[in-house]
Amino acid sequence: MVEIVTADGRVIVGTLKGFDQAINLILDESHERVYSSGQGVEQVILGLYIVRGDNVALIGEVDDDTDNGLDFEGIRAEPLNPIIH
Amino acid sequence: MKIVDGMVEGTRGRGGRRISWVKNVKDSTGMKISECCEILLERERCICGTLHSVDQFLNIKLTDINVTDPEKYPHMLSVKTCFIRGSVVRYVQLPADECDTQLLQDATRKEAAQNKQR
Repeated sequence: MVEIVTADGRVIVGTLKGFDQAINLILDESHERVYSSGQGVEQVILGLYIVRGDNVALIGEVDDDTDNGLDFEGIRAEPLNPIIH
Repeated sequence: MKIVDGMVEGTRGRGGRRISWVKNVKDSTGMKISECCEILLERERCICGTLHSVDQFLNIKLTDINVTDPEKYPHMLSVKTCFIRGSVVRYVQLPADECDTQLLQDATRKEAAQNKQR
């Protein structure tokens, strides 16, 4: 399981199936985590995704145990800002 | 996931060993690559962690990371190891007390002199 933060500030979590030198990514069984200050984290099912490397800001390895222990209903946070160049 | 180590500019002497960019950082800062560093992304979010490796695009791998202000940014609570695309990094801050500026300057001069000879 990996967590991708995209250049426009979205957070996508999925299983990393492949990548290349341009950091294009293949994510399986992916879902987007939509953070908002008004309500808890909303999880949107995306399925199989190919993310172009340009749009990737960060790839994080998700610790499953920690992740399962998180209370997504209770997390309130502003969505991430897009990358400014 | 194996990221190819970066290369130092120019060619190496005959029979010389390949020098990776990371080795260069090690030599010039005189600190182990496992020492801490801080990375500020362009979105003004700070991630502290142990520098694992850097490649030629300045893509950075960090282990044992911490996001400063996790209350405001809970997006990476379950992430301990991450890969940051070089293009989104604003700067890398090495702890001042781990940086030997004298050694750094010497290493820079040495490298400049070597490049001049070629």
